[in-house]
Amino acid sequence: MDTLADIKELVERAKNYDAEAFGRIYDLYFDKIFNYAYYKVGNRHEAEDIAEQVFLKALEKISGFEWRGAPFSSWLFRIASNLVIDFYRAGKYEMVDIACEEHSLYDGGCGPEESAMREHDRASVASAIKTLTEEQQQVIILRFISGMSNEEVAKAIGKNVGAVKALQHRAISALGKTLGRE
Amino acid sequence: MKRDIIDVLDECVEAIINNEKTLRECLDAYNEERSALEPLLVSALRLSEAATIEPDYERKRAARERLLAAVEHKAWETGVERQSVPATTRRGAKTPMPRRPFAKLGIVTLVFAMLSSGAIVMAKESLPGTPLYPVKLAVEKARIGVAGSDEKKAALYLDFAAERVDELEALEKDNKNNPALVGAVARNIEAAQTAAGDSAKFKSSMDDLAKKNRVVLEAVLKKVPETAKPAIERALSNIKEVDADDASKHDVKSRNDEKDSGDGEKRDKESNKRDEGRATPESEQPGTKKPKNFKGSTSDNDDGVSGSVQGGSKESSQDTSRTTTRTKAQNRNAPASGEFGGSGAKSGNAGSDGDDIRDDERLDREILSSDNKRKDSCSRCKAAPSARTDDKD
Repeated sequence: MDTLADIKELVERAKNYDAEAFGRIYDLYFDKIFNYAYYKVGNRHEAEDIAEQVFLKALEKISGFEWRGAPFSSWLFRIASNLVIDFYRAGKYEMVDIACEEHSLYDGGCGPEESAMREHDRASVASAIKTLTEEQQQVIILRFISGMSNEEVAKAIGKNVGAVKALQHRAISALGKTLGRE
Repeated sequence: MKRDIIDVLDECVEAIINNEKTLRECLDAYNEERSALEPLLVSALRLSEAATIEPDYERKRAARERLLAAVEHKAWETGVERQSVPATTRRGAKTPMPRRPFAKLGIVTLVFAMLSSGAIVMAKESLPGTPLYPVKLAVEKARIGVAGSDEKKAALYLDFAAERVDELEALEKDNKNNPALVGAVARNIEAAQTAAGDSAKFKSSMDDLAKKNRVVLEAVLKKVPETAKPAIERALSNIKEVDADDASKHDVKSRNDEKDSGDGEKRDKESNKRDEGRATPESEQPGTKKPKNFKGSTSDNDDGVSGSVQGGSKESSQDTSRTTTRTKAQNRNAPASGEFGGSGAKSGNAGSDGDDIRDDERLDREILSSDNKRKDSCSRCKAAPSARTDDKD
């Protein structure tokens, strides 16, 4: 749908504080950023707050954005990554409890048992991802949750494609062990 | 030959993420690696299935609205009246945005309905970074919205440019810097020019603005886009010409006066009159209004040197030296015959010698001397004007 040229035009308009362009960028990337944040912090509400902050930060910084080969989304993910670091530095992680998150989902009346089980599985995966190294987490989230290609992930994290593949292999092995112990 | 498990895993992951193959199909395709690949793909599949999580719809929508409000706020804060500038001059704007016919009316109504007049008055004094500053800009935007003719719009834009200059000065006073304001000055001038076209009234108003804010505009000129430069350059060159004319006229006038009187006593009386004039507050003297924090930046002194002394009379010695430098620069712009016109017979003679360096030194001495004396006692100057002239020598 949105080609690189379309994204570039949107970004240029956004740099001029065009509300419509910003709205479009928000629609394109909010869910991916939210997912990224969710798997990093393991809490829906915190993830939504972080995702919102990402776009507000992007608004502040967009005038200085320059194209350097990486996709625009990797710039947004970098902002998200920094906000997640701030989140942990601020000690908010003490309030985050995956079990509570699951509980709230059950209480929230998600309805069918299947849906509840999926949320349970999601929470388990989120917990398991948090046991990975920082680089492994980045690769797994950008690859599986944000749907980036190896090349895009490589540009986003500043490594070559071979390194991304190796990190992916090690991360999946580690996740398998963690999830297998449950 | 067995393939590297890293590459095989990556190919299978790619296929699973893109829903091109199932887990079973992948394992069948790489039967040799099945034992190593299977646990990895099970984990990858679990990751892939767990991946997508939907944010709460209401919270997402509310966050979107807050973001768009922040974008509008930012546009007002940093890009005053962007919409008024032709689309071709907007960075990156390839096609004009669709016009919303009732948006302008809506903004005006909202601004006036939501804000009490008290808040608007308070906002008028606000500076960038303060909570009421966006209100101030919104009110300005509303005023442009209701301005009927292009002529009125041009006048308003110039008022807003002057307002941005005042804000720059106020921020500088607090040792703060806001580069965006420089752009806002330029954009308002640019918008004024677009609205006014070749109107003579606009040129006259632009000259007034340049006259009052010469130093700021000279600084702004270096940073503005090419489209805004002509109006500022023309206004600055106009005021230089006017300065030169004024200086020249004044020189001729003082020479005529000298001829008429024929003695130095009359000149001393004139000088004394000027000194009395210095006691008048700055703001009460026509044509000498200065920006709050750019003392001496105006160049419309009626009496050349004495005007500069006036600027430094209440300032520290450092300020006096700044004033001196500016006066020298201004005098260099004026024709030789007009230099130091009206500063008394001695200055007039020095000017006619054409020795700039000696003129400057003499000028410095005159300024410092008269400044010190004024600090001692202004009444003494009035009582013995001739003695003061002797002191200078």
